[in-house]
Amino acid sequence: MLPDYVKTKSEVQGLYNDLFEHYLKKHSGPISEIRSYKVFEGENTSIIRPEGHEDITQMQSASSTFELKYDEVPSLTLEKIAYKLESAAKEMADQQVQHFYETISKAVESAGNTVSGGPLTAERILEVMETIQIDFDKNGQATLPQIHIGPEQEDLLKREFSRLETEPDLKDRWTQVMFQHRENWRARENSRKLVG
Amino acid sequence: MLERIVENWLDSASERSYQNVFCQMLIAQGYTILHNTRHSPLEMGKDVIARDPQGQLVAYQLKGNPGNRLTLRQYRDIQNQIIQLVTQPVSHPNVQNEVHHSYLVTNGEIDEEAQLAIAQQTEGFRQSGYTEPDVRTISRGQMLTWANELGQSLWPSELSDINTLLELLIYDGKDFFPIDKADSLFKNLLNLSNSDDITNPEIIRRISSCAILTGIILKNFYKEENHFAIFSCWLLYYSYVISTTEKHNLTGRIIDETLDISKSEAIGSLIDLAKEVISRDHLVEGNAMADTLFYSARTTLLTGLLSVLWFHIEASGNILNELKIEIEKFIKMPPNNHMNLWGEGAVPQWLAYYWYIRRKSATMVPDVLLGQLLSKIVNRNSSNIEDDFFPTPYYSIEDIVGHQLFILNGSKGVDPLKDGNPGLASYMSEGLLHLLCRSLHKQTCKAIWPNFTRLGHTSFLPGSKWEYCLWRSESGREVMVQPELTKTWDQLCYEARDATGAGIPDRFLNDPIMLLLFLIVFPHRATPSAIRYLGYKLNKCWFIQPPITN
Repeated sequence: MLPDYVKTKSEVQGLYNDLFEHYLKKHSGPISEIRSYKVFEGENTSIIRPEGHEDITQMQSASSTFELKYDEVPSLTLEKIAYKLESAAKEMADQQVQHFYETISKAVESAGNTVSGGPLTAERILEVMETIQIDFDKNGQATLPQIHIGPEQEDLLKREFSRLETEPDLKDRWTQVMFQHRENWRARENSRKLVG
Repeated sequence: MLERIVENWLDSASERSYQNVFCQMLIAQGYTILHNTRHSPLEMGKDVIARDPQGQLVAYQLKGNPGNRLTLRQYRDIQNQIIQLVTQPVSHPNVQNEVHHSYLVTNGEIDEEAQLAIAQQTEGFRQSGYTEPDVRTISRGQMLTWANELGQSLWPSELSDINTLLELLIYDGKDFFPIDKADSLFKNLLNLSNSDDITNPEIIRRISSCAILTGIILKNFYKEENHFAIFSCWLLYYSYVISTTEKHNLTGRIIDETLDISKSEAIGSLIDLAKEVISRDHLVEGNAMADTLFYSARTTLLTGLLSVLWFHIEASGNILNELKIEIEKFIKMPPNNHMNLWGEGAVPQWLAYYWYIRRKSATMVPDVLLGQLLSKIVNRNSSNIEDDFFPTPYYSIEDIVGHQLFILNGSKGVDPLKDGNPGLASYMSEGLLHLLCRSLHKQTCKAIWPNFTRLGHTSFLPGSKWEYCLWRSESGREVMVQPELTKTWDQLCYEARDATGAGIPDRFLNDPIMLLLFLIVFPHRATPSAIRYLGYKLNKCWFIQPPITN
C-alpha cells in the first residue's frame, strides 16, 4: 500500500457524514422534525392497540449511491463533495418520505380515518378535524396536528384557513369542533383509571 | 497463526485461567467431570476429579507455570500436595471406595530433575504398597496438542473472525468485556448466524471448542483480575450454548457438564468480585478524577450482583457462609445513597436488590422501593420532554455519560444517545407494575396508572426461542403495547399471575439465578415475561390469586 493518513481521514469522513445528515434533514421536509428512534434488532416493529389490533411495520431499506471515480479525486473540492453528498441525501430522503406517507396512508385507511374526494376547502378541513384525536396540555392548549400538503396547495390552504377565522358559520363550527375535542380529551383523561 | 495464538495463551495463562479450559478439553474427550474446585477448599490435593471414558476415576492437581518450567524446587514445595493427591482416596458422593489415577498438570514444561523426583516419589508410593502409585503428568506439549485439536482446528477461519479474535486478544483487560465483538465470533463458531448443514456431534465439538476460545480471549482480563469482565464472558458463553442446544434440540451429558463448568466459572468470578468488594475501603477504580461519573452506576451494579450471589450461596447450603455474612453487611436497606437508576438498563440490577431485601425484610420497605422505581420511570418517560427520559435498556451508563460529554463538548463528535429517545415508551414498566400488583399495593398501582397508560410498553420478541439468548437477534419484532385507558384491578391481577416465562428457553427457566445474572448483563432481555417469572421464583410474597405456570 501507499502511505495513508488513516486517523485524520476518519475524522474528515465524520464531518462528511454530518454534512450528509444535514442534507438528509433538509430534503426530508417536515418529516425531519419527527423524532427518530433506533431499533437495534429484528425485522419489523408493531404496535398493539388498546382494542387488541396489531399494526405491523416492516423495515424498509433506504439507500443512495455516491459515485467517485479515482481520476476525480485529485481535483475534488469541498464544494464538489458537498454537491455529491446533497444529491445522495436527496435520493435517500425521497425514499424515506415516500415510505413514510405510504405507511401513514395504509394505517389511516385500515383505521377508516380517511376523508377523500373533492377540493381542499374550509369545510373539508373541518370534516377532517372532526375525525382525528386531539390532545391538550395541562394549560389547556391544544396540540394541533401538522398538515402536510404539496407546495402548490399552500396558498389555497392559507385562504381556506382564513375563512375559518373570518366567516361566522365556519368560525362557530370550528369552535364547536374544538370544544368537542376538549370534552373528548377530558373524558379520555378521566378514563385513565385502574378500577375495582 | 491460530496455533501461535493458542501457544501464546498457554504460555501466559495462570492456573486459574486455564483450569476451566482444561476441564472443557477433558469433557470434549469424553471425560465426566465430578468435581472442579474453584471456591471450595482444596479437595485433598485434587483440583479436578473426573471419570475417563472407560469409567476410571482420575484426579488432577493443576499448577501454573506460564512460559516457564516446573523446577525441582517448585516440585518440592508441592510435594505434600502430591502425597495427598495419590494417597488420599477421593471423597465424593458418586465415589465409593475406588482407586483413582493421579495426574500433575502444568502448562509449562517439567525440568529433568523434577521428572526424576516425580519418578522417585512414584517408586516410593509403589514400595509403600499403594495400588495406584503413579504420578502421571500432563504438561505443555500435551495441553497444546489438545488445545489445537479440540480448539483452534474448529475455529472459524474467515478473515473477519480472525480480526475479531485478534482484537479481543489485545483488548484492554481493564475494560468491560466487549460482548458485541465476541457475539459474531461465537455465533459463527456455533452456527447461530447461518444455517450450515452441520451434524449434532460436530456442533457438540464446536461447543467445546468455543469454551477453549472463551478461555483464550479472556487472557488479558484474567491478567488484570477483572472479575466482572470474566464473569460476563463466561455468562455469554453459557447463554450461547443454551441458544445452540435450543436451536438444534441437543441434550446429554456433555451439554450438561459444559454448562455446569461455565456456570461454575461465572459464579466463581462473582465470588472473587465479592471478596474484593468486601476487602476494599472504597469502591473507586482506575482514574479517580473521572470516576465520579460512574461511581453510582458501579455501586448499583455491585449491589445487584452481590444480591444474586447471596441467592446462589443461600441455595447452595452452608458453603461460603462467611462470604454470605459479609455480603449481608455490604448490602444496605434502605439503599446505599450512591445507588442510582441511570436508565432502564439498570432495572435488573435494582430488581436483584429488591428481591434480596424482600427476602430479608418482612416490612413494606422493599415494595415501597419497587413503587418508587416504577413511578420514576413512568413519570419521567410520560413527560415526553426531548432530552429528559430514561434511556432504553439497549443503552449503557457509558452511552449516557458519552451523551453528557457530547453536549458539554458543544455537540461535536458522536452522540451515543442519538435516536435513543423512544418517545412515550418504556421497556420495564409493565413487568414492575405486575410485581407491585402481586404485593397487593393497589393504591400505588392506581396512582401510577394514569401516567402508565400514556406509555407504549415495549419489548423485543425474537423470531425463535433460541434467539432470546443472543446479544442481538436478526429475526423478531419489537412490539409496543398501548394499554387500555381503563382497566379493572382484577384484570391487572390476572395479567400479573402469569409466571409461565413465555419465550425463555427451559434451561434458563430451570436456573433462575443464571437467568437473573443474564438479565443484568443483557437488560434488553428483561421482558415482562422474564420479570414476572423471576418474581415468582425469587419472591415468596404473593397476595393475589395463585400463579399461572403453564
